[in-house]
Amino acid sequence: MREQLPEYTYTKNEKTFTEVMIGFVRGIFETVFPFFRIKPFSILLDKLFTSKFADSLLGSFAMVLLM
Amino acid sequence: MAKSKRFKEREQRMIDVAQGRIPDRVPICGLIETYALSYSGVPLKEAATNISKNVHAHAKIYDDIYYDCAYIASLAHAWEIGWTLGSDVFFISDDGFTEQHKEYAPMVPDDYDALAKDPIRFILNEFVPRKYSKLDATNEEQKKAFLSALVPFFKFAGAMVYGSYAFRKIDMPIVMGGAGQMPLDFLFDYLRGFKGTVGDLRRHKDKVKAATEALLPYSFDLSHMTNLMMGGYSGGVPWMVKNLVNAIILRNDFEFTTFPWIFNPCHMPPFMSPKQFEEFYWPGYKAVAEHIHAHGGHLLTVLEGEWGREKLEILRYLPDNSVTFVVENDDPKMVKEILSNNSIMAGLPLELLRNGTREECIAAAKEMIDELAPGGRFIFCTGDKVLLSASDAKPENIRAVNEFVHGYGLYY
Repeated sequence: MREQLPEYTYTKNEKTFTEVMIGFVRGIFETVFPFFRIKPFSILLDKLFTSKFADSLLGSFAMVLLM
Repeated sequence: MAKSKRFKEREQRMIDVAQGRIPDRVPICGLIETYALSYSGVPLKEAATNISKNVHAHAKIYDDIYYDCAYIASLAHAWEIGWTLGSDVFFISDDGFTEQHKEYAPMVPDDYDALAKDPIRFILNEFVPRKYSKLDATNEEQKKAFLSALVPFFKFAGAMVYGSYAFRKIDMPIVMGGAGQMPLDFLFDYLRGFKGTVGDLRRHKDKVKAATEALLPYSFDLSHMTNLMMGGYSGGVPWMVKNLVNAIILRNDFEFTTFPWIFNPCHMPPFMSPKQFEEFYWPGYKAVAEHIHAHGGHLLTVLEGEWGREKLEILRYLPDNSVTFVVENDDPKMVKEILSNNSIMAGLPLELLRNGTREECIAAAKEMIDELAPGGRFIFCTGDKVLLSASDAKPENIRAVNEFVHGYGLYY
């Protein structure tokens, strides 16, 4: 078993893991549907990724990773 | 696929018990996890990487032996994600079939404030990288690791959906339709572990309380999202669409499936005094049970280990017909008497199913039915614990007992 010390984690990242995941999924949206790069569609995407529903999806994924 | 007459009858038996009505006969529910793999001869590693093998390996025992309801249609844990991201918390026994896990809970007391501030972000940004070596890395490496975990994630979810379909084909309802994780069990099961959480109840009382209060909305959310995923096939398309729209727009109007139920193994209470239980565990448990009940759902709580009368007495204050309690080491008769406004699920000791003769098992089953079936509110299950290993029970004993209960447990 690894020691339970937080300093084992890599701390030099600019983004959090959540931001990495959201950025990745957003990138897929913008590649498949390029109109999401321009307003007002980009605002729609902003709202979707900051919504509570997005949090619920993240929470579900977090639970799978916790198990 | 439409529900057959036999499927509806079996499902109705479970619903009748949960809602306090007397069913036509005592329903028999499987409590089977990786035992199903050894029974069907499919090694865990194969099941974990192949949706079809995973589901059909779980279905075989329900196809061969009489049951009214299955416990789960596929592996309960996302093994392949762990392998992909570099975690060995879950591991396979030498027999190749049985799942085992060790405790790895890399949260320290100083983390409580961050957890209470934003549980999901703490788990994803701080905790998960400590658990998975592939995520303890640069952003670019994290991105690659996330991408590599997506296929196993969809396979895990796909096995649940395909499992609902495949089990419908053999007329077998599945009882587990979502996950109810209690706030304090987040700490106990995953974040702080056994030793850490037990110690924190004394040393960091206020921080534990703040964290469990913050985790409560996450518990609600998880029960919604997992019900959508695991109960979606039963709920049907209009139910799914309605709940997805509610989840995106209205938020608090989630409607649970009447059946299947939200599964919740309570792990920490056997290690708590009644006073600690009432102070730390009960508020979160009560809130989750009431939330699910108020929104049309039902909770299936496993009373893991031995709870004792005092803690069980506290559970009397739950709403009527809101929970079915799976009894492990407590006396089922006592549990049924104390929690008479709700229902119980109980089975024979695994030791008997493993070492006893067919006649001894049937005699014990008869005694159990005679004691617990009168008045309804009772589901017979495979054993007093979830079956994991091939050595947990002789298949011929399970077959004999289930056939006996199916014939003997008639109400009218």
